[in-house]
Amino acid sequence: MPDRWLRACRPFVPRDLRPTAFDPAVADLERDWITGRARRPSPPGRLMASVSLAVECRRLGARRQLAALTVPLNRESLLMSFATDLRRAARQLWHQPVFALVSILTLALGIGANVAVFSYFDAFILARLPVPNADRVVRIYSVTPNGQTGIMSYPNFADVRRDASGLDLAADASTSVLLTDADTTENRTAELVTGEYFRILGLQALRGRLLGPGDDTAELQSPVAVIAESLWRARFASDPAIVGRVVRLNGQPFTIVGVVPAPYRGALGSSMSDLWAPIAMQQVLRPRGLTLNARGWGWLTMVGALAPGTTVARADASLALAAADLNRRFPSKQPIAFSARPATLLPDGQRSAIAPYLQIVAGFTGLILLAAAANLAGVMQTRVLARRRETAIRQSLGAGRWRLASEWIAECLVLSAAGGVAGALVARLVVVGMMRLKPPAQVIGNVSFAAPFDWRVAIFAMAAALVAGLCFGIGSAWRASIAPPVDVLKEEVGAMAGGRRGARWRRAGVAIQVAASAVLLLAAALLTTGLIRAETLTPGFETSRLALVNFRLPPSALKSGDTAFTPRLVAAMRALPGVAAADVTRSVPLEPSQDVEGFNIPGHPEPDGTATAIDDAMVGAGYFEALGLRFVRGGAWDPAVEGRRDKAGSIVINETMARRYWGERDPVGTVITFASNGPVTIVGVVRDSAYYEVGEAPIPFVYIPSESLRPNAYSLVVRTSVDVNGMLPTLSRAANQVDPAIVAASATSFDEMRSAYLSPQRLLVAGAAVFGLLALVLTAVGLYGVVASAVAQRTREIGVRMALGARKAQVLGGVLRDAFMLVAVGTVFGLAGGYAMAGSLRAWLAGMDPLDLRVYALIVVLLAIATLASAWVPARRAASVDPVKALRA
Amino acid sequence: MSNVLPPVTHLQVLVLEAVSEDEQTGRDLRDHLASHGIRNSAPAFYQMMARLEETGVVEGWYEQKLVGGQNVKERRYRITRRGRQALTETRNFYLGRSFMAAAKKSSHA
Repeated sequence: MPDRWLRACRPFVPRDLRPTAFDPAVADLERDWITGRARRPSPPGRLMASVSLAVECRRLGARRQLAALTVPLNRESLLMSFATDLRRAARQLWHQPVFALVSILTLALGIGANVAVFSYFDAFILARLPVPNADRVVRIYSVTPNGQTGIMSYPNFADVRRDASGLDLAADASTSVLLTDADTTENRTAELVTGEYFRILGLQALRGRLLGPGDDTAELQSPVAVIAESLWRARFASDPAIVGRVVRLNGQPFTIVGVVPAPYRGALGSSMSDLWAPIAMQQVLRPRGLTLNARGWGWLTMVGALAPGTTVARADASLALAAADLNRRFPSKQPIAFSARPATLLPDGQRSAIAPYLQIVAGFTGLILLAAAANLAGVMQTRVLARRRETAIRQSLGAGRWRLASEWIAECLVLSAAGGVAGALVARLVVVGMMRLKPPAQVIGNVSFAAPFDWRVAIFAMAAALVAGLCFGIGSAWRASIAPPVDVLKEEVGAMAGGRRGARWRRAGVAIQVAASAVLLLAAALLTTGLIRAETLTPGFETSRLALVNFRLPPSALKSGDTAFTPRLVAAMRALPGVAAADVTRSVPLEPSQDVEGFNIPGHPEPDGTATAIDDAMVGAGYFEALGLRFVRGGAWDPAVEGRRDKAGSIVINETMARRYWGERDPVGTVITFASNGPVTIVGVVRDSAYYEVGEAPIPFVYIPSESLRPNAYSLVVRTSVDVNGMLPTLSRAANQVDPAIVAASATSFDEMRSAYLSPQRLLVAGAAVFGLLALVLTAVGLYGVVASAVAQRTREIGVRMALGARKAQVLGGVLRDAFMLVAVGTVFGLAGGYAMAGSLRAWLAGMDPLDLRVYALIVVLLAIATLASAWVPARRAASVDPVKALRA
Repeated sequence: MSNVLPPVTHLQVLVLEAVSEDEQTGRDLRDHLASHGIRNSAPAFYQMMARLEETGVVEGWYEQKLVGGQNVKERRYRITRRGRQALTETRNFYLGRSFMAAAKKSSHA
């Protein structure tokens, strides 16, 4: 009768191998011990010998099965077995819908949010001009020493075009014109272009011809124009005989010679051009009484095409030489410099208005991706650890690492492929939602964008998801196969969910997620409070019942010397029932465009002897009443005498300026010198208000009479005594009655305009809120996984504690305490990171307080609720552990 | 002469040769293989022997022996007619190959 310790493992040996492999091997061992060939070990040693024989027999069995089931390992069979693994993984995920759904959704949210933001970024920031030569076309910026981009005169352009090598140059300028055809007059946007313009862009005419070098040879000699396809279709009903048709632009006859194919609408971005005319016709279309030869008159921007083989850097170098030549020939306080940059759909100024907001939103989605990745890594790790025992058994049965790895990789690939597809769908939805938050015309001009969802980006995202899946899969497979099977099999059932190290990693993953969602939630909450505060801040004047009407003045009103038109227009407005006050202004309050004039203030010379630069607005005398600005001292100028040559001009200053330069003294009656226009007398001091942005710090400000300088374009500010929105059409009509040629370019209420300027901030708030909630959901899911697996791991320990007298409440409290500690760590890091980020967000939203403690408390409460919600179920499960069952398990 | 390899591996040839002269115990056969550098585990060796038994080239049985006053059970093997035939065919195959190789060598010389 063989040793019973030696026979102990016989039941674990495959039935058919017991007589053929196990029994004779046992007999040999016994024979060796009896004959003294080997020393008989103690019972545990004999048991170990039995285990070793049994394991060897199982390995033989596995090999035999493999030999029967597999063909020799060659490339084809690897692929075939991987295909089987993929099918098996898909089936397995189908049977575990909760795990599959959570993982796929996590991936989809992470990928979808990032693809959407990138698509948006692509459409607004990276998109090139829709022209055949897009990859070669550059925009040339004239840069002043203080970094601002400027415009240039035609003679300067002609010199640069001649001197710059490796670069074909054209100039353009936007203007609005009155288009009259068949007794209808409309306000349209025109682009004045030089002859090379269309050739440089590589555009071909849809009908007729485009403008060429022959059209800008001599001033006023080429009354021709080409129109955009959209204008041809909408305004001229796709008239096949459009070429040769004569229309009136600003009252002058122009012949349409061609149609520019859609979607091209101009290189200026700020406005979508409806028609293009030769630059030689500028005196008709941009009447300033100046000829093209005026070197001091900057009004043009430049586009260029790089010659084959020329880089942007080389073009820059060649432009620097041209600029140096100009600066040498025409020395100026403001030397010219040029910079060539790839021509994007939106020019630099407008891109820089929106890019920071998009960058912050991209940062938010990056955090979402981080949270999603941490979540997925945690889920995969839990899965690997839960199947560790199964993996160990299979390893001990002879399954190779590749076999085990290929199964994990297949599972991760199936998950990421599904996540990628779902992510593309999420991205599509987010893009549609985000397009509704498209920045308003005031911010990005009248540029229209197609729905910017980009399938190339989606495919890239899916590829990235697959690579990420592969990384997760290989990582998981490595973890699954790294532990020696014997060690794993020796572990207790309760310790199955992994050792301390695994738990630490999972906890760190959850802490990262908590921190990411705390940052996002904090940003969303701070921005929301900031936005609410910004919307409730008053700009220093009442904005309700205040309308702003931009006019395109008729050519007759633009002629120098015609001073009667503006008073007639203002008088007509004031005579309307429902209008309380009205007057003109050249700078619209709360618009970012800035006017600065130089003044010499007695007693306050500048250190370098130059004039003091002070922000100003050119307004009519009734402007103060229309806006509701109260005078602290003095009053407005007399419009009847202002502008007369025999009288020195008057100005009104604000309280901050009075305080800064005159202290407590009364500045009314003081004469200061207007650097470009001689001495002026201060006639009044008006209360401070916001000039560019609500909530800005008070600045010195000067109001200059429009009556004296007669601006050639202005807006009308109208205070109504009835609902302002109902009055807007009436205001347009009334202006039309003054002169039938006048066309209202836009009429908006002040509240609407202000709301438009806050739209990027609103985009930020919406993005932060949506992504913050997403991150919170991901965190809750991750936390649930960690707490649930910790409870499963500690089942036996909890059973022992309860058997020793621990109460249910104590167990419940213990599990919840652990979860709260974990969240607390993440929250501390998240709030610290959030505070750091809030500092940079403050620049974008006046009124935001980055240290609003109520907001911080709110985030802590929100995270506490999320923690309680996700830890409650596993904690209850822990508290209801039956000690007897737990100890038997 | 056939060019097809005989269906007996080198390891099996070693075993068949060992049992072709006299019956052997499994333990002795394992020692014999070990002297040729083959150190299979006991279950692997006996599983191989079981396959040889299945194909009918050897037959095996248990025998009880009294060693030092204790009963010892050991597995013994002997070659069958079919086994001897397979061994002869295998020997002839390799002898034929080496004869051909030697003849080729001398003709070149």
